[in-house]
Amino acid sequence: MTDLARLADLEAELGARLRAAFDTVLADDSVTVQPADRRRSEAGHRRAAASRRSRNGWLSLAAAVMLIAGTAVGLIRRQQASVTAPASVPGSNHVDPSPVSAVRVPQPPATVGEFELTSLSAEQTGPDGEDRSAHVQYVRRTGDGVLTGWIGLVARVVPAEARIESPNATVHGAPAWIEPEGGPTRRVEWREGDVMLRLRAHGLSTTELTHVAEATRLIDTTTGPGVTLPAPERLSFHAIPSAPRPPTGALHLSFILSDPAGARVVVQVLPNWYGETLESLEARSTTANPRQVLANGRTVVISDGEVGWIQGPDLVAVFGQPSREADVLAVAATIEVSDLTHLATLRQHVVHGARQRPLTDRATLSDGTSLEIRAAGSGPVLCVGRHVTACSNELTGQRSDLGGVAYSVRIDGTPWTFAWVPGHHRLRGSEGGAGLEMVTDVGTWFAAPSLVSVTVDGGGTRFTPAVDETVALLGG
Amino acid sequence: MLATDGPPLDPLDPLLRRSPSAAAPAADIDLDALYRAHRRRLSGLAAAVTLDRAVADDIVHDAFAGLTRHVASVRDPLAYLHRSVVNAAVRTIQRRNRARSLPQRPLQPSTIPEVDETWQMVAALPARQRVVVVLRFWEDYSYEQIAEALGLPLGTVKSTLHRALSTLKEQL
Repeated sequence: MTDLARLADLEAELGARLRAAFDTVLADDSVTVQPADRRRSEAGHRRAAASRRSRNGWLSLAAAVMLIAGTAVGLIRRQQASVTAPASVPGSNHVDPSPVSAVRVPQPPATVGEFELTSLSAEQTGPDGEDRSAHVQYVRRTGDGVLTGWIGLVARVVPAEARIESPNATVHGAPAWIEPEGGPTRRVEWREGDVMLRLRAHGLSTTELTHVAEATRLIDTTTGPGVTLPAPERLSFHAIPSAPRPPTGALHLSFILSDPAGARVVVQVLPNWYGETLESLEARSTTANPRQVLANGRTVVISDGEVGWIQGPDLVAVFGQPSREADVLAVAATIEVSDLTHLATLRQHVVHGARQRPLTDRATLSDGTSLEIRAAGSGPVLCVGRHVTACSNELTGQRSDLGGVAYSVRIDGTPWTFAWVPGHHRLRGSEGGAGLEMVTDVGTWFAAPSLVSVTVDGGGTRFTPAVDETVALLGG
Repeated sequence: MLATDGPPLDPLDPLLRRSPSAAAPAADIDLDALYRAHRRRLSGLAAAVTLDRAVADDIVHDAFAGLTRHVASVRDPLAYLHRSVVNAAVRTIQRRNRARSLPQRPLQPSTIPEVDETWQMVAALPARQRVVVVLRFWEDYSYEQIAEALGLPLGTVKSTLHRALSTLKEQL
């Protein structure tokens, strides 16, 4: 028998099994492909050999079955994908019937849009190999205003030696230098369907370009005329001021719902004015030219996968601070989620800020009540509510009278309250690390994945979160 | 240096049919659709070679990013992507020290013992053998296509595949 004939025999003998294995292992990117520990014991080898011998007679049949099954599964998945593939629904720009008045989403050009990438920030939440979050802010300019938004993604950090040398990010082949810390920005022409935004700059290695692809698609759709979100995969919650700041320092939020159905997000945004006081900010927010303060008072609603901007009456929080962190804007948001899964998803994509240590917040709310939040572990997340006139936290020992944000999340009718205070933001810088240094003007929202207790005194409401349930779901 | 007749192409692939001629640049390719349609499989290919999902994803992203830069001159986008992924994956595993330092995701075995066992044996093959096996049985490359993709003589491809399969057969 010739070598080629022997090779053909081997292929015939092993091909089906190999293909079945590949179809199973390689077609599913949730399955790791790393080799197993080969330090199998001698007994283990004997057992494996015996097992193989006993199985050998069945292997061909099993391989064939697997091949058929794999093909069938693939077909089914393909069919499911086609069935569940998101479809744009023109004209379905839903406005939530909440107690806020509706304002239609501005209608940008449906074709080519111009985006100005205004910032990139990143933070390291763990050693190399763990997730970093990276956020790209963009400004899309239209004829009669500026629409702003966010791209949010989670990137994976690789060791320094594995980082890509080029600091350039590219968008559809066009160089787009994205500077952290308010560096120069460069306008990039985006075309419909662009997916190639690389965030290799600053040592970030994108784990999933799909994240970016999805995010860019989200841009297209959220700013597009009446288009439903394209099967968003995750819920992001970010906050950052745009550049230039005054007078258009606005806070931009984007949401990508992991499962739009059943999740309702209401966010209200206020601009910050470089350390202006709450009073002046509030005064300005009621008198300023809406076109100058585009985000002023704007509430973003995402309901059932649809997007809208609405005006909301329940302004809650304003945050100003006469320092660099003053760039951080105020957010008042209410997030209602139908179940804890949504919150767990939110956790994955909110700006990471918590450290691996217990955290206690104490805050005095604007109505004189005091608020204490104790949280343990790392984790998410935030949302709305009430203006905090004074706050401190045990983590930094710092106290601030400059205010912060407290927020509540209602889960199955149970309100959860969290707080965000300026001390956290300073902490991020003080703890150092290259990754942290990049975070300059991203609102740091601390969350309580492992919420221990929330107590509101002074006549306020006492919240009793379902701690165990949440801890289990959020993972601490 | 773009592959024009490398991996087998699905003639029904609408993405590919957008190029009326194999000799004409595919400047009108729908990158978004191409990405969505082939990213996972390309990632699987890269992962099979590198044994690291994260690295594989990066490789695929690089390939797409490269395609965006050269889309005007690429005649066969999918072949380009395959070639890019294979080359990058091979380069990655050649830098063994670096590859070993890369983080790997935790083991999440499949639920089929035979599949696991087969895959573990493939993963344990020397890198070049593994690449050849994967290209042959995952991508259905011909010997000639493997040789072209890897820049190896045809005889080397056959002998490498023979050794790999012999090893696998012995272990099975």
